[in-house]
Formats: sequence, C-alpha cells, structure tokens
Amino acid sequence: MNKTNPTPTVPRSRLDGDGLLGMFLSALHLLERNVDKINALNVFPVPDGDTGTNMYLTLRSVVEDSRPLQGATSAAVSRKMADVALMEAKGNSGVILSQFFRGIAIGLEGTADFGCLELAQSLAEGRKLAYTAIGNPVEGTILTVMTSVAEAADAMDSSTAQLSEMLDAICIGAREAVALTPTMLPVLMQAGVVDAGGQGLSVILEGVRRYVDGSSPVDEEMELPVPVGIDGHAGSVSHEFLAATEEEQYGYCTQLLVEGEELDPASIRETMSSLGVSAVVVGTESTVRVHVHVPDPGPVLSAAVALGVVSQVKIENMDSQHVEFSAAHRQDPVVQPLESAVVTVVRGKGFEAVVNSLGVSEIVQGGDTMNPSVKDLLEAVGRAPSEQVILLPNNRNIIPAARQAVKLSDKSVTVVASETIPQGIGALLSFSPNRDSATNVAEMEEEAGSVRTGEVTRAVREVELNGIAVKEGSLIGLLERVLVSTGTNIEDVLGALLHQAELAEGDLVTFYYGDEITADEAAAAATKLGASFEGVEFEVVDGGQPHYPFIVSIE
Amino acid sequence: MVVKVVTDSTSDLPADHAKSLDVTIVPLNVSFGTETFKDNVTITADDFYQRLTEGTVLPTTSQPSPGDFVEVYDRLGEDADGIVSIHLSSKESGTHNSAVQAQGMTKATCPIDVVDSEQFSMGLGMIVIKAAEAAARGASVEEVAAIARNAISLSQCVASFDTLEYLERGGRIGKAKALVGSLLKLKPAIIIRDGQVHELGKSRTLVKSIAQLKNTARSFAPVEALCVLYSTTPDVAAEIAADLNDLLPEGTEPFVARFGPVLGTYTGPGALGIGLIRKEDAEGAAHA
Repeated sequence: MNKTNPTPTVPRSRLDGDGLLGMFLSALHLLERNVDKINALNVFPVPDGDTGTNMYLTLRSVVEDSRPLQGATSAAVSRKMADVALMEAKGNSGVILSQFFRGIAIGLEGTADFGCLELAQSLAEGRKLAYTAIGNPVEGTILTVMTSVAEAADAMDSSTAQLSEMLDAICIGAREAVALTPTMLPVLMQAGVVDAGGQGLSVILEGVRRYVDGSSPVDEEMELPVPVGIDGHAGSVSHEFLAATEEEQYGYCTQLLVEGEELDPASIRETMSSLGVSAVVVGTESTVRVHVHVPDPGPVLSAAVALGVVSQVKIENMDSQHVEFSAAHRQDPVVQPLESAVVTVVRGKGFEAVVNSLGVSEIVQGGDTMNPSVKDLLEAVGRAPSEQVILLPNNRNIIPAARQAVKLSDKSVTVVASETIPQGIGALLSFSPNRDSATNVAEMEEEAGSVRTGEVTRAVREVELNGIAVKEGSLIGLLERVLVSTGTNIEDVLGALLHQAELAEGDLVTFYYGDEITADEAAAAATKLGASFEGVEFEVVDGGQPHYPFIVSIE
Repeated sequence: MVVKVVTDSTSDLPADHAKSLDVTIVPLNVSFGTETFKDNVTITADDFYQRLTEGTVLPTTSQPSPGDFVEVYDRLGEDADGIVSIHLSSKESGTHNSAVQAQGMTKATCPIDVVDSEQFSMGLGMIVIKAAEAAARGASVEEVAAIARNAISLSQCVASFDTLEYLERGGRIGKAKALVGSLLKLKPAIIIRDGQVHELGKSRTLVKSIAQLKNTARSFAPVEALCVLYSTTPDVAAEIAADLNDLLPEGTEPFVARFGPVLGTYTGPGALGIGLIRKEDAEGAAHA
C-alpha cells in the first residue's frame, strides 16, 4: 500500500469528482490500519458487532464501486457514493455513515467541482440526516462528532478559507468531540472508552484531510484522543465493565434492505422503533435500509416484506457470546406488585442510588444534555411493578415527553411535574408504595413545590443576564434557574448563590456534588459556607452528575 | 365500687396525672450493659437521655416480670373490687403476657381484666385516662374494661424521630422497614396501627416533620384529648401543643408528656410525638 497519497497536488482549493474519490480512498487506507483499534473500543452492543469493521466494509464498497466514475463531476461521484453506501451499509455505524455520504450528495448536487462552501453544506446536511435516521438520537456517539464537525466547518469563512484549512478545523473538532463522548454517555464512562463510531468518523476525516493536505502518510495507526473524564488507559473496554454487563440480554441485531416504490423512511422508522431498540432506518423512496435490535426478528421481516422486495437480510444473535452466563440469569426475580410505583429521570450514579433508596422502581437516564425519548419513558413505565405509575421528569424539558407517555401508556400514569432533581427527591419523600397514586401525587406535588434548587455549572457562551456579565467557560450559579452569580472559584459562586437564597434558620441545604468534585472538596465547601449561615443545616451527598459541579437543594 | 386501673411505664403518663387519676404504673426495665434500672423509678428521663447520647453502650429494655405484676395486683386487690390492667401492644412487647401470667399467680381474689391496648406511649396513656376516669365515677370492672377496649379504636399515636437509628438498632422497626437504607438524612415519622409501628412519612427538616405531625393530628378531628410528647426538646413540644389548642373542645388544653427511658431507647433524642383520643362520634373521620 502507498505510504503517501495517490495524486498529491498542493494546495487544493477546489476538488472535482476525482478529488472526491481520492479523499475517500485516502480515508479508506487510514481506516483500514485503524480497524482493530476502533473495534477494541466497541462497547457491546452499542451499537453492535464491530464498529471499525462495519465502517471499513461500508467505506470500501463506497470507494470501490465509485471508482469506475473517474473523470465525472463531483455531483455524479457523490451521488454514486451515497447510493452505494445505502446499499452496502454494514451495522449501525455503517448506516449512519451512509447518511454522511447522503449529506455530501445533497451538498454537492449540481456541482462539477467543490470547495469550502459546498463541503460545509455537505457536513451540515449529513448531520441533519443522521439525526433523523435514528429514532432516539443519543449524544456521546458518532452523532455528536458529526455535529461538532459540521459546526467547525460552519464557523469558518467559506469564501476565504482553503479546503485544507477547513479540514484542519474539522479534524480538530472531530477529535475534541470524540474525547468528550465519555462525559455524555455513561456507558462509555463505565467502560472506560471513547465512542467507537465517533472515532471511526474521526479517522475517516483525518484520511480526507491528509489527501487534501497532500503531505502526510495515510498508512499508520492513529493515536486515540485522550478521553475526558477517564483516567489512564482508554484504548479498550475495561474488564470490569465486561464482567458487569455479562448478564444483560440483547436479542437479535436485524438488518435488511427493502427495495420498493414510494417508500417512506420516516414511517418505516416509526414501525421499527416500536418493534425494538437502536432502530436506524435510512434511505430513499426506492431503497430503505433497516437496522434494529429486537427480541424477535420475525415481526421486522414481516413488516419489511409488506413494503417491498427484501434483500441483504442479516440476523445476528447478540446474546450468543453470553450463552454460558445466560442460563444462570434466566430466572426473573419475583417482583411484588405495588399499589403505586415511581419512574424517574436522573443523571449520575449518586442520584441513582439516592432515588433508589427512596423507593423508586425504575430509573431512566437523562437530564439537560440528554433528554430521554417518550419511548424510553414508556418502557420504564411498562417495567414498573404497578398499574399506577407516577412519573417524575426532574427536568423542565422532559415534562412534555412525560405527558406524552401518559397518553400512550396503557397503565394509569400521572406526571408530578418536577423541574429539577431536588424537587423530584422532595416529592419522593412523601411517596409510599402502599398508597394509591392519587393520594401520593397530591402530597408529592406539595413537597416538590417546597424545595428550591440551586445549580453551579459552566457558561457555554458569553452572556450578560440580570446585570451579571458572564465569560464563556466561567462558573455560574443559578437559583431556581435564574442566573445569580458568576466567577472562577466554585466556593465563591456557590456562596453567592446561597446568599441570594436568603436562607432562614431551620433550613436544610444539601450539596449534591458532581462527578468532577471529590467528597472531600464538597465537605470542605459545606463546612466553610456553613459557618456563614447560622441555624442552617448542611448535608453533603454524592450526586455524581456530569456538567454540574454542584446541584443544591434548599428546603 | 372500687376499681383500680394499672398500666405500665410505656404509657408515658405523667406522674401527676397518674397520681390524680389513681393509676398504678408498673415499670419496665432499661439496662446499660449489666446496669439495670426501673423505668422512671430508678432512672430519670434526664439521666437516661444524657447516657444515651454521651455513652458508648446502647441501652436495652425488658418487660416487667410476672412477679412485678403479682406484687401490684396483690397489694391493690386487698381493698379493690376489681382491677383493669391496660398495657402496651402485645405485638411489640411481652409486658401484656407478664400481666396475664400474673393474673393466675396473684393472691388477689377480685376480678382482674388485662387489656391489650394495641398502642404505645400516650396512645396507651389516653386509653388509661379514659378508663381511670370511668373508675373514678364508680363504674364496675366490666364497665371500665369495656370503656378501655372501646377507646382502643379511638386512640392514635404518631411520632417523628430525628433519626431512625435508635428504632432500627433496637429492633422495633416493625412495618416501617421501608424507611431503612436511605442515603439522605431523614426524619422518619411513624404511626401505630393494629399494634405495630408503621411508616407515616419522612421529612428532611424539623419544620416539615412537625407540620406532618400536626397535620396528621388534625386529620383525626374531632379530638377529645391530646398530648404532645418529646424526648429532649420540651420547648418544641410546648409550641406544638399551643398550635393544636384549637383542635380540642373549649375548656380543654393539650398537655405535654415525655417519652420515658424505655421508649426513649427507640425514639432517641430529638423525637416528638402526639397521642390523642378522638371523640366517640368521630367514626370514619380519620385514617384507618
């Protein structure tokens, strides 16, 4: 294999169809060398099989089947690439990659050659398509990387930038996003890795960059970005994680291609989402690719056959690797039905433990940066061991989904509209599983309303609010979601927040500290701040939440 | 007709009430290690709570022996026409059993009726007061016992603890087990139902925990008599009593009593409680 790129001519301000082919041939070379490294990151079964292999096989088909188009326009080559990607996509990551190519085809439509402007448009289109392809988009995945990449391109002035400059920015954006994935997706944090699909895309973009740059060799293993929030070695899934997840049941990874007329990918996606999890459906009116994890592949096949001609059916038993363990775990624990049960949404190991200790039946992961879908909530409601279920969304943005779940569930579901986790915990204090839902809800609503919430987090942008000038990245203190303090020292921001709260004697202030704060740091903050509020009790509890060094409940 | 009313020290009936109502109190025992005291007789509540909070040895409690009851029944039987002996819930203590055994051992020849109050503390105390009042009016032993038994369904006792620790360590958690294991500091509240400890609720602050007690008491209206209990905070108890004054009929006031050493072993310091008796015509007006 070549150590350098096929036809380096530097600098390249605009590329034609051959240039497009060259970009992805270079990417294919780099990806090939990195397949094993990407596979090692794969957190089974998120999404499935071997991410590196699937992306490589998909990209190889794209490059090989498009090569006969030498000398064609960039529009023609991009269209061909998108069609091939759709037909040949392997696995979840391959399907999302096909959306990346579909985006390029849209961005390059009608072009003989292309530059920065069209590239930026292509990435934006690809991102949009990828998000709609997935029933329930999750951050901390290849989607996050696509967003970061599209934003990096968008941030540049397309009229003056060189393609190579834009690709430099794109690749930096990709690496940064990959490094951040563990902070967004708890399963990655637990497994001690960055997201495999995101890293795959990062490698592909690096291969593209090197082609355009024309100088760097493409035949080498790439260093993984240093992940944020994980100590030390992060090149493969930890043994502890594998051991801890061995008992889980995953069902069948089912993939197929439907060819027909007037197909509607959106409605097919809805059908597939209702049959299983991790549903990814992409395509056109004539060809749709389906990927979904289901307990039983039968209904997926039946639904597909009803739509058109089905081919490329691939069904993999995701549990087969766990067969020897499964027997021991087949027995469902006997769950005593409750008069009423609570389903709640929290983020952070500490909070999970706290709400568990207060009698919650089902926890859905979620919060500000990760709103669970209606389906996630419905499933949790379904699992709750009672016909009367109380939903605590603990976030203003999750309340609408919770209300949807009420309409869709066949159980009697009531939403106690908690807007913060402290409100939710307040409500839980008056919950008793031995009482009916109506009795519980009346008291829970009152309790939720009697708790005030403070938060310390970081500003994502520069802003001036309530006469407070906030610099990007600096700490901010929010009281009941209103900006009340800012600064660079956590204790100062927290202290200013508490002063704004006008605490009274007999109040209880609880510091739920986040994943970036140690128990000692939190205790020190409570001791120091406690001294300036006489008659106020302070308690320190591990929340384990990301993004918020402190969440404070005042009651 | 002279009918004597007997109870045990877990009624938490204040000494002056017991004296004016001519009620005899048989003490249970509380021990720190090998040192054993008779509840409120050889150890005062002040001494007890000081040892409880400062000492390293956790106290244990024990029921009175049948002999303790025999002694009392023998003495009272000399000039009584009958004895009604009312005790704490037989589901949580062997005290009732000791009294029943003493029935067959005493020299007293008058009828002795032993009543299981299915209550604790002033939940029991209120029943005892009703019975003693009837006895003072000259009621027969059958009448006094019937009044006591009827009062069981009218009597309520709720309490909130600063911590669940003492109840849990004392092994008297009963049906309130769900309160155990919280990762947050909680002030649990309990209610006595069917002779056992049940969870009433949990609060994070004293203000809310007091509000819960008061609201629960109000849910039992109309109320005939009410007593506020404390283990170490008499001022707080007095405030609660004043706040609940309007719950009682004109001319009646709530009074304050203290969780004695035996019950204090389970409530711990900082506990508050309410014992009350509903008006007879208040059927169905309250929690089950």
